[in-house]
Amino acid sequence: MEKTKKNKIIIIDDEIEFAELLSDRLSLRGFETEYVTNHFEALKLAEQKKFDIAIIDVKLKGINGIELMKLLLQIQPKLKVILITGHGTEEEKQRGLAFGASRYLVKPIDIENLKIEILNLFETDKNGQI
Amino acid sequence: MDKFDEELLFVNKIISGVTHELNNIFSTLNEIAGSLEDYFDFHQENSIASENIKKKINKIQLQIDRGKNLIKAFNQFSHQTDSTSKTFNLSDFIQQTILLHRYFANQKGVKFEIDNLDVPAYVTCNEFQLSFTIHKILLEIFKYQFETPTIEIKIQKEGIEFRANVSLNDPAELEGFTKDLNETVSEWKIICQFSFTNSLIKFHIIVSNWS
Repeated sequence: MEKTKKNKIIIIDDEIEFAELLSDRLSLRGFETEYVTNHFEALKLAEQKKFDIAIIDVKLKGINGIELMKLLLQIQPKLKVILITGHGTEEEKQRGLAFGASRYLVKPIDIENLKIEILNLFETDKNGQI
Repeated sequence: MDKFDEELLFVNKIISGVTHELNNIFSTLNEIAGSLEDYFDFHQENSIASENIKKKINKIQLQIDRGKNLIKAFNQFSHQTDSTSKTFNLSDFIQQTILLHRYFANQKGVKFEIDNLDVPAYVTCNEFQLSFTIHKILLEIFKYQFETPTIEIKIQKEGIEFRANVSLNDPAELEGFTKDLNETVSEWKIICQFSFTNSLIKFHIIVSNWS
């Protein structure tokens, strides 16, 4: 197993298979992950535990991922957010970034690319940058 | 909004929903294939059997990529009516438009070859109107019976304009055809010129409403 500092990541995606597999694959790469499939569980978990990064699907059932991000940032203002989406648009990307997302990625996700993005976020966080 | 626009919006909504679901399936398949790959990579399995399985995983990945491209094309098509004007890469746009026509091209024995610019060709215009015109022009091409032609499409930068040129590999097949068709959507300054001469099929797309 690769040696990576244990950083806590929450994955929020209503596709349970996708969320579970992504969680497993990030765990294999040394991250501590948890996944939930709806915004109720996400908000509940965010009240109980501190996470470093949230990976949020933009098109969730019942709520837009960007709206959920805003709610999560109220609970955990230091949380870094990576938005993931099936169909990326420039408008949605700009909106997501404007409301506090750090990255915007289009599915299917390249796991090695995601790992680099996560590590970069930790690195910029250490340097006090966004 | 007229009846045609309403019907189109309806069709696009359905396509958009279906492609969203398909994308979820392919994204999950992508993760499954990735997990299998992880298994061999992280467990140091180096037997011939594991190498064979890895090759098969790569084949699954290739099919996923194929599905992904098709979804991208459908997504692009279904979201065209989202806004009146937006910025997109002309090279990607042509590729995805051609992809939607590939089945019909196969039926007609027409082969597309695309040679795009290395740098993205960003244009700002009404994507739907441009797409609609290109679809019309491609359907014009398919009206003719050719002997296994190859249609070459090159996107070239000429000053502030990008041109997508389409030409056939065998000029002899065009003998007897002479047709000029100009499509002009002046409101958005999108001009598509389609001309048959006895030596070449030329297909120019000129988008002059630049960002």
